[in-house]
Amino acid sequence: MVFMGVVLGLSGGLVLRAAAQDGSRDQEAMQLMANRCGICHSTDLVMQQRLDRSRWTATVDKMIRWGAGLSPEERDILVKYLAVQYRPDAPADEKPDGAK
Amino acid sequence: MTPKRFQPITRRALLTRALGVVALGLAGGRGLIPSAWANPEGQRASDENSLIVRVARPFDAETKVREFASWLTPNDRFFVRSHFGPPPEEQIDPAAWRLEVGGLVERQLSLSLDDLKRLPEVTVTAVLQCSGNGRAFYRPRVPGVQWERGAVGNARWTGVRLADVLKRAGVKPSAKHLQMQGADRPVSTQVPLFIRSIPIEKALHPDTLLAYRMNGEPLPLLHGTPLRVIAPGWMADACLKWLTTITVSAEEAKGFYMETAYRYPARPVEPGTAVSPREMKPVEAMVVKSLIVEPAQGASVGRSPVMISGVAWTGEEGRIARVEVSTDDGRTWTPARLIGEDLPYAWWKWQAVWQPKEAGPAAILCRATDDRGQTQPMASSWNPSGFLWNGVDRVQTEVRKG
Repeated sequence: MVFMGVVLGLSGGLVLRAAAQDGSRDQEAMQLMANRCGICHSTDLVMQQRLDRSRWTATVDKMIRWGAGLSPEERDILVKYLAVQYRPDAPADEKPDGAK
Repeated sequence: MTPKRFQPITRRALLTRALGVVALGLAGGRGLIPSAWANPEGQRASDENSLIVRVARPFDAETKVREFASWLTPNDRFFVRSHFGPPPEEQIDPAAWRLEVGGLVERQLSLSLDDLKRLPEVTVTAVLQCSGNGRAFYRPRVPGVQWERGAVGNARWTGVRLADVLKRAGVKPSAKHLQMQGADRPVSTQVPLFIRSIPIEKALHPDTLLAYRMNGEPLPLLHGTPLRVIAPGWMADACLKWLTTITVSAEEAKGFYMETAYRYPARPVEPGTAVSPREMKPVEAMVVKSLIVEPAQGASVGRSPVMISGVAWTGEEGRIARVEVSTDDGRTWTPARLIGEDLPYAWWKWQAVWQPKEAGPAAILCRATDDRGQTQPMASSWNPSGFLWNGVDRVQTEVRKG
């Protein structure tokens, strides 16, 4: 029992630490969106997309070619965030006038 | 124009202004930031009853479909698509502005607005529609502004024939295309310029205009003041705003916005597949399409007869042959009555009467057919950039008991 408790405690700590790291990565990605993508366009344009990872990668790489200031590491953080947050099956935005 | 409405400035309106939306001003060629702040028409850009903002900056906003109850779409309710947003005021000051005409011509021209206005004036009523209107309905989803139903409108465009300007310049026999550029510029110099071209035949068509008025008013800032191209029957990517330069050429324009963007597969492809650039062709003519204006999406209707109404249009110089509605999910279709004048590029209004039989949810569908035999499909053929959506329109209603 004691042994299991130690194992659970250890793995729980790891999970928590990983979650905290993910959280800070998300924060960083959101800041990149606001401060780098946001130079040319408001971030509503980003948030309405629902794309898979390969399309997000292609889109971010296009934006880097078009002058978005992102280091390779920042690019990876941003792509990872976008591919999860704005994946194809992510919940839809509110649609004020959308038939169909 | 609809009467001016003076709305109290809400917190949301202030926030929108802070984002620079209203700075773009929906009224006339006057407003950049300072004048828009003092401009009551500009206030309406943030009016919750006006446009559905898809992108705050650069401004992309679509019209609420209920506005299409009016045959002409009012200027301040007309959809806006911006690649980079309007140019600085000094670039489009009508007093200083010039149109440069060059390339494969006998005489290069530099024309003021007054020079242009000495040519015969022409008015064409035409539907203008963003190529990506309906992009949000494609599956799998494609990147781009997620337009739904309202990136379209019908307006009276007044100006001069592009052909009259080109005749003054003298087009050389080797001419094949007309390249167009406006005064708008991207934030980053690494972003490609918005340069487009249309085939010389379309440029020389007597209905292709250089327009300086929209619904009788000077062309508003967001719609391209002081001059824009109107290529009736074609998608709006051919209708350049803030026009400053036209170049007659043997080749299509180079660069991203002609060679890569605004293209779609020449033949239908499997949804989600990559398409080689060689198999793509430019988006040009509109395709047959219709919208249900009334009842509105989500409307509650009674058991008495319901008037269904909407608009329908098609591309090139085609005519709408018929519009049909279905209230049984497309199993049976009933003809609607077309209303209006037979004008080649304008939209028709249409009406049909529906007698709901039972209470509960009920979908209304509509589809149009043109005189070339094109009928709206249930869903348009998927393409990588989500252009030319013309799937059957559908509105969900709820029939009340009793």
